[in-house]
Parts: sequence; structure tokens; C-alpha cells
Amino acid sequence: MKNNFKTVNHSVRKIDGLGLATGEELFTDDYDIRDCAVIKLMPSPYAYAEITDIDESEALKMEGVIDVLSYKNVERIMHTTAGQSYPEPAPYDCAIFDNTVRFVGDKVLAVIAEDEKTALKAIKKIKVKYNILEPALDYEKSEDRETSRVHTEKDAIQIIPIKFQPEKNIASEVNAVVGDVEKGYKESDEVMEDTFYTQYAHHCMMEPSSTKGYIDGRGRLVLITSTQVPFHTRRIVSHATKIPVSKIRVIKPRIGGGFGNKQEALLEPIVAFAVWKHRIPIKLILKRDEVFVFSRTRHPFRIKYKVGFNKNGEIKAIHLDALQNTGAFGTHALTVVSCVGSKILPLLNKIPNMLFTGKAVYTNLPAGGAYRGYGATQGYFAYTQMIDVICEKCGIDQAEYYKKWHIKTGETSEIFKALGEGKPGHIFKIDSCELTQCIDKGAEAIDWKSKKAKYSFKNKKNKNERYIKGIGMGCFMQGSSVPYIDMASVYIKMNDDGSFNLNLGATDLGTGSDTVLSQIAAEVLETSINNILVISSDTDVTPFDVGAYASSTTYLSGLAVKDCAEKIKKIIKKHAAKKLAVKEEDIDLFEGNAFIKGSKDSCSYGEICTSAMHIDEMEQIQATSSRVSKSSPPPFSAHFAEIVIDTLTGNIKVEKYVTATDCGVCINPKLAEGQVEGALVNGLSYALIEDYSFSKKGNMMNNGFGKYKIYTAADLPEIITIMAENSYENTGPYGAKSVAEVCINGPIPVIANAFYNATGKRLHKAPFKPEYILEILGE
Amino acid sequence: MIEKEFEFYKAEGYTDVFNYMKKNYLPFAGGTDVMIKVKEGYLRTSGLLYIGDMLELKGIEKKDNSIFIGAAEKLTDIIKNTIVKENFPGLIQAIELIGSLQIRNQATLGGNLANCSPVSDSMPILMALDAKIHIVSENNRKIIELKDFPKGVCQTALETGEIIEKLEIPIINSKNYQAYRKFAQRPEVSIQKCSTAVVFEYENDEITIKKAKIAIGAVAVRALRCEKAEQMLKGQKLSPELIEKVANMVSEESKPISDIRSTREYRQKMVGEGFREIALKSV
Repeated sequence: MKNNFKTVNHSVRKIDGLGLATGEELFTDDYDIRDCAVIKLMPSPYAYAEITDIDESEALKMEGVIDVLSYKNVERIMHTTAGQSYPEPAPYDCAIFDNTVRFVGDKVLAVIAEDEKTALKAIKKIKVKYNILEPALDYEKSEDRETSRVHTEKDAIQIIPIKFQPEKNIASEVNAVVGDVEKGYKESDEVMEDTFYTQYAHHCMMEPSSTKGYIDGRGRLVLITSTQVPFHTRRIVSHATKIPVSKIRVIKPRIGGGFGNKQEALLEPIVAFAVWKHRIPIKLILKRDEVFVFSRTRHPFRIKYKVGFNKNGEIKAIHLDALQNTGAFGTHALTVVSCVGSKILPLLNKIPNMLFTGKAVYTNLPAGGAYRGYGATQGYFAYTQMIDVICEKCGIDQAEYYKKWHIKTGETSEIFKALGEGKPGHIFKIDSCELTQCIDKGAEAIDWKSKKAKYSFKNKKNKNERYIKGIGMGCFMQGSSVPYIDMASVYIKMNDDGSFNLNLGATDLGTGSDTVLSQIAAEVLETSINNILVISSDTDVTPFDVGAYASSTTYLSGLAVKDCAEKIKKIIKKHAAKKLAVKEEDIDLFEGNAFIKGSKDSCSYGEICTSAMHIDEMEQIQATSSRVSKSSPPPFSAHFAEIVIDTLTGNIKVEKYVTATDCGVCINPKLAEGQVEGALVNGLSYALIEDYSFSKKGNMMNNGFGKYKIYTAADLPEIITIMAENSYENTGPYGAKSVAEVCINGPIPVIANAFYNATGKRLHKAPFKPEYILEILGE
Repeated sequence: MIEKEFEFYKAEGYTDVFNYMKKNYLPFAGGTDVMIKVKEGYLRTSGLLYIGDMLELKGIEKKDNSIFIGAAEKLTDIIKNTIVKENFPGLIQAIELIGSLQIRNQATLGGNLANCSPVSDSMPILMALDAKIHIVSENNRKIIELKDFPKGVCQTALETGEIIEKLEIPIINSKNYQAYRKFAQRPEVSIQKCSTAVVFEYENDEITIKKAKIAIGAVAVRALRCEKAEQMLKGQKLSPELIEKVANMVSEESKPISDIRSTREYRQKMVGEGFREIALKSV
């Protein structure tokens, strides 16, 4: 396939790149609003307690203290902070302020003061009395009768059926069945099962959670906020505060990273309530220690598999069971659990019998939320090692196994239908899959077969070597948007000089989506990207878009942009035809000009728009478009890692990591590679060093970068990034699928498989810290 | 207007230093620890006294078979210094592992010692090098052995009104081997889980150990010298059996705790491994 793209598939510069580098682009806290008051939250010192009394009188006497907000003076309206489409598949289990605190660091109350120092001093003067309750800290025991129930309030509800059962500490439950697994086990030569654990982690986005609000000249509330979901935020804020939607404007400035953390209306309801009440500008910006516990995290999981397979490696039946610790609130609980099944089980789509059981349980620990990978990352730890075990037992090469069994173009998976988000899913066919190509290219780049044989523990000549090498591989998929739930819309208008305003609901959180979507518009409109002027994510100015999540922006918002630009193109042709006195079909558009086909007679876009607006038709050339996704084409990726294990210190060093990824056509190859490598580094860090450590009372002990380490550029292995060629997704804009998430799924299982190759031992608990590795090596 | 968080004074000489310290000003040179502690409220002070540009606290020089390093010398400058490089490669190795390049450009060796964290990267190797600290106060000067300097977590032998002027490290005239091994969550910008510093001084045959000095970090409230392990090496030649025995002794002499960075068991094992690794590299 040869594509003759002019702007798409080229690595044009990120349109905000220079401004970000020079500091001229603005983040939330950069907006200078005069006399902006400050909110500080009082964190709960207990994992679980009922607040019996708050005495704020001393604080209110202090100069500079404006107000103290708590359950005593803020109306209790149950809602979820999960930034998802309405009706949200998450329990309404929180209020802006509650008389119960459910984890160490949960908000007890908020002090509004003229400055931060005063607010902090005021917090110290407030006396809070608690009735301390026994916390639920072990999620495997959450359902036990002896364990405290985290949500005993009567007004917590589900708004759609998600099996919310607070009386059992269950936030949500989901099952999916294809065929009959019991029958499948009986038909199998061997049945085996195993259990794996993944840990808490944080997104560690550079910009902390930040929200600023003020009242504009017409009495409306303006929120400038670091969000991935401006439209959902407007809706949730309105619900939680009773401020009408018509009175709220949400503006998303530049965002310093989100990775899912900001798919949440977490600070906005607090700020909105405070600003609306006091009619003054107020901001709330979390400190890093608060960000770790109070903002959302990656849900820890226990994943079990039970698999029946034949001697030739054919899987007859699989049961994947996922138990999620959702923490104190059920935000994204159901959907993250669902993705353990929906983003994994379709990969080897020929398994006739499949059972997926998922459950999210409450604990008195920090709440989970959306995080790049969204459950798939946790589930692949078990699944990819399972495939490795089957291959090892059956004597089949892993790469060949995946090539034989992976889902192919034109095929589908029953799981697409069986697992949706709070409702049944939708069946669709795979339109593009170059996973076989990815496997072959990746294997070649790392010299898979010969290294696997050479490093295998089975032929280690000298068992006393201190450093031993291993190699592992695995294949992964994700999705691109949520079918029939995600929607994106766009508005384009043309200006006198032939430039275009592109108003997007879509949310660029540093990913480069403003750039990528401009490229799509420029491609359709036969103009330079410099003539596309982007405004994104301002609820007053741009049409609706669900926001940046579920790897949907390039795919879905891209479709809306393409559709809208095509409408504009048609109008331009109509005007040009009139001006040049030919039929519309005789017009060609090229580099900002309209030509009569086969001739040099032309007029420029500027001339066309000028005459349309001022001279002839007297109309604005404009169009709008809105698209819903009808499928969720998976991006695919094959990963290979070569590791060195120091058997004396337990240190695992990844020497080389190869990814080969099929994301369809890369709209911007450099930005796509950036997403692949960013996700990889994110995953390596999660696999090897990141974890939350809690005290016995549920207090996070390492909530700062001094103690919670993440990988830096200096810690990286040699990375080889391969993008598949000739992949074209017909349902996507210019052949594109998603790319942001899929590669975070690789490092945990691929390193674990490499560890097996080197030692013959399996890893069951991430992260693979030296202490854990020594323990396993000693067994 | 920016509100003043604390009083600040830049000292030009000792007179300034002692006057302001009487007013409870806290002296600092690089500020990479002090500033954070003050800003986060762990250290309370009425004012800060900058001593980082004082000539009395600067300079690296060789005198009387010792090398003197001024307390306010920046870590980066020490790493680049040729006399230090020639004589104390182990010290360079350790300093290069402190913080990040940006921190090393700012932080000073005197500050690292005065901060006296049990996880200091300079302390173990300097102890193994038998370093001494020159302390000065308004009416007195004294020299104390570095191994007697730490008194607990961030507690030193410094008394009120005293500051560190310089560090003295005796030059080892015989053939010797020095090394520092740090165990951490990641190689760069990471606080140690534990560490081992070793200095071997050889006899004229250049094999027999005349004197061995071993210090370990982060395995107690302060860095320690492993005297029993040192004794085992005296007058010996390294053999695999001896290395094994000494490594076990180093582990035994450590008294680590479990905390968020690592476990007691792991630390205890690693300080021994650190010795083994260094000993094997030395031969």
C-alpha cells in the first residue's frame, strides 16, 4: 500500500512544542487572577473514622480566613468523580464533604483563606473529633464477614446495574461467558491454574492536580482546570453543586500530563462550590504528597487463571478471574475490571470456551482510577506468563504460537459482544492486524530464537555464574475508544485569508492531539498545518467530546475532524466552481488553491473566503460534525526483552527492549513513537521499582519522589521501536488506530518471561524488586 | 510583594559567622538539605546564614602527608580535583553517587557531613579513609576523628557555635585499593538502601593486607566501621575462603532495620555482598 499523504504520516512539529519549551504556553497555575484565594484540604489521619464534631471557631477568627467547608455546611449530593459518559458505570458513593473519612489522606474539610500560609495555620486550629473505626486494609478479605464495610451510608447508589453491593464491600461485579469452560477443561489434556498480584502505582504526571475558579462579568462560574474530561467535569460539577450547566464554563489550558489521573472531577466540585458561594477567585492545587494519596491511583489486582489445553498447545478453555482493590471509592471500578477481560481475551480469539469473572472490592486505602493500560496492564501479567507456560510445556516457540493463534484481519471475538462498559458490548470485525509482521520484525531485531536457546536455564553450563541472562516475549492489544459510548465533535470555519479555525472538544493533555488533529484537517483541506488554528476543550467555545481517555482521541476525534473538514472542502469547491464558472466536479484543491482540473486557472482560498463573506454569497464557510465510534480497533504490539539478573543482589537489569507496534497509519510518526516509548518507560518503572508502601494503619509511607522512585532517562535500556508498515485501518481517519496505552502492558510479563528463561522460576508479584528476586532465587 | 519567609545574611568571615550564630542563625553552604528542611518545617530557625563563599572554608590542598578539603567545596569541584583523584579514587566514586549532577553542582562536602544522614554517601568511605574533621568556634579549634562525629540520625558531635572548617584525609603511602558500593532503588538520584566502603593498604609485597578498613552505611542510625571484619584481614592475603568469612562478618556487624527502602534481611546480606564484590575486584 502506498500512501501519498502530504501532512498526515509526517512528523510535523508539535504545534505547542516551542511555547511549552519557552514557558509561554500556560498551565492552570500560570493564569494570573488577582486576589485569588487558596483552598487547603485537611487530610484524614485515620483510615476509617466517623467525624463526630468539628470546631472551626478559632480558625474563623483568624485574619485572612474566609471560610471552612465541611459536611456541616455543604449540601450532601452523592456522585461519582469518574469522568465518564452519563450514565456513569460507577457507584455514586461520594459527596463533596462527608461525615465519614475512608482512607488516610481523605478530605475532612477545606479551609479557604487569602493565602496558603494562613490556610495551613487555620487547619491547625480546627479541632476535629473522630469515632475511629476498624479499617478494611486487605482487599482479599474485604468480603469476609468480620471485615468492616467501607460504605454503610444509605444514599450511596448505582444509577445503572453494575452489581453495586456495599453490604458485601463490592463496588461492582462483572461476568462474561463464551461457550462452557467446564466442558472445555474435560476436553483438555492438561488443566492448570495460577495466581498473580499487581501493586498500587501512581501516574506521576509532572503537573499536580490543579483547579482555579472565578466568577466572570456576567455572573457565571469559570473553571480553569487540569482535566482530561472538560465536558464530563461540567456535568459532574453541576450535579454535585446544583449550579446549572448554563452557569458553568470549563476551560482546559495546557496540561502537564494526565495518563488517566485527570479523567476525574476531583477538585472541581470543591472549587466550584467555594467560588459560587463566595463569588471570589479561588484555587486548589495539590502538593505532591497529596497527589499520591488523594488523587487517583492504579488499582491493585489479584488475577487468577485456570486454563485447559492440549499437547499441541491448543487452548480449549480459559477462566480469567480478576479481583480489584478499588480503594475507598468505586471510581472506574467496573470498567477497569472489565478491561482485564475485554482487552486481553480477544487476542487469541480461537479459544472456544471462555469465562471472565471480575469483582471490585472496597478497602480503606487510596482510591483507584483510570491509568494508562486500564486493567489490561494488570491482567496481562497473568495471561502472558500463562501463554509462556503453555509454550514451554508443549515445546512450542512463543513467537510461532502467537502467530498461529492471534486474531487476524476479518476475524472477530465473542468477547467484544460479551463485555461492554456497564452494558453489553458490540460485535465488530478486525479491519487491520499486522501482529504477525510485528512479531517477525521484533524477533529479528533482538535475535529471539538463538538467544532464547542460548540463555535458557536448561542448558546453563556454569550454574555458579553471578550474572545470568534471559530473554522473554509477549503480544498485547488494547482498543481505540469505546464503541457506541464515546462521541467526539468538531467545528470548523474559514477565515478571509484562507486559514481555518478548528474548534475541538478533544483534550490535548500533552499527548500532541491538537497537532495530530490539525494534521488530519490540513490533509483533507489541502492546506498547510500553519493554516489550521486550533482551540480545544473550552465548554463555551468548542462542541462536545468525551475527552482524552480509552485511547480514543486520534481515532474518534480524528474521524470527526476528517468528516467536518470534508464538509468544508465541499463548500469550498461549490464556491470555487461558481467563481471559476465550471462544475463542482471540475474543481481540484491543491496547496490552498482551487484549480480547474487540467488547467492553470485557479483562485486562492483567501479569494474564495473573502468573496464568500464580503462580496458574493455573503455567508460564513463553516461546518460541524459529530461522530460516535462504531468499533474499537485494537492496536497490537509484540514485545521482546533481554535481561541480566545479578544473582547475588537480586537486581534485574533490562539490557535491551524491542517493541514492534501496529497502530495503523501513524498520523505523526514521531509523536506515535513517543507514545510507544513513553508507555514502555512507564511500564518498566512499574514492573521493577514502583509500589506504595503502607503502614499497618493504612498510611502511605512513600508519598513523595524522595521515596517513591520512577525511572528516569538514565535508567533506560537500549530501546528499539519498530512501527508496523502497511497497516491501514479502514474505519479510522487516514488508516489510524490508537497508540497511547498498548505498550504499557508489556514490561511486567515480558520481564517475568525472561526471568523464567534465565532461571526456570516464575514471578507472581510485581514489582520485581531485588528483595523479592533474591527470595525467589533462594527457593 | 513576596513575603519574606526567613531572615537571611551572607557571612564574609568568621566574625560574621559567630555573631549571627549567636542570634540563632543557621549556617549553610550548598543548601540542598537545609533549604528543604526549613521550607518543609523540619528545621526551625530565625534566620539563615550563608557561609558557602567564605574563603576560610574553601580550597583543596596537600600538606604534611594529608589532603585538606574546605567544608564549602562543592562536590563537583572535588570530583574534578586532580590531587583528590590521584589519592582517593574511592571518595570520588562515592561522591559521584550523591544526588544528581545539579545537586552535586550545589552541595558541599561539609554540608553532607554536617547533615549527618545515616544514608550519606560520603560518610562510609571517608570513615574508611580515617578522615578527621576540623571544627572551629569563636574561641576554639579542635580536630576529631570522623568515626566519632555522627551521634545518631542527623545528630553530630558539633556543639553550639561550632562549624566544620575542613576535612583532613591522611594520604596512604603504600599501595592501596579503595572502593564504594551503593545499593539503591535505581542507579541515579536515589538514596541508598545500604552501602559498603572498603580501603585495603598493602605491605611492600603489594598482596598482603597491612590494614583493612571497612565502613557500612544505612545499616544503623549512623555509618559504622566493621572492626571485627577488619581484624580478620590484618596481615592476610585475600583468598576466596577469607573473602567469604569476612563478608559474613560484615553482615553480622551490621544492625539494619526494615523500612520503606528495603528490608533488614536484604540490607544485612547486601553489605556483605558489597564487601565480597569489592574484594573480588581488588585482586
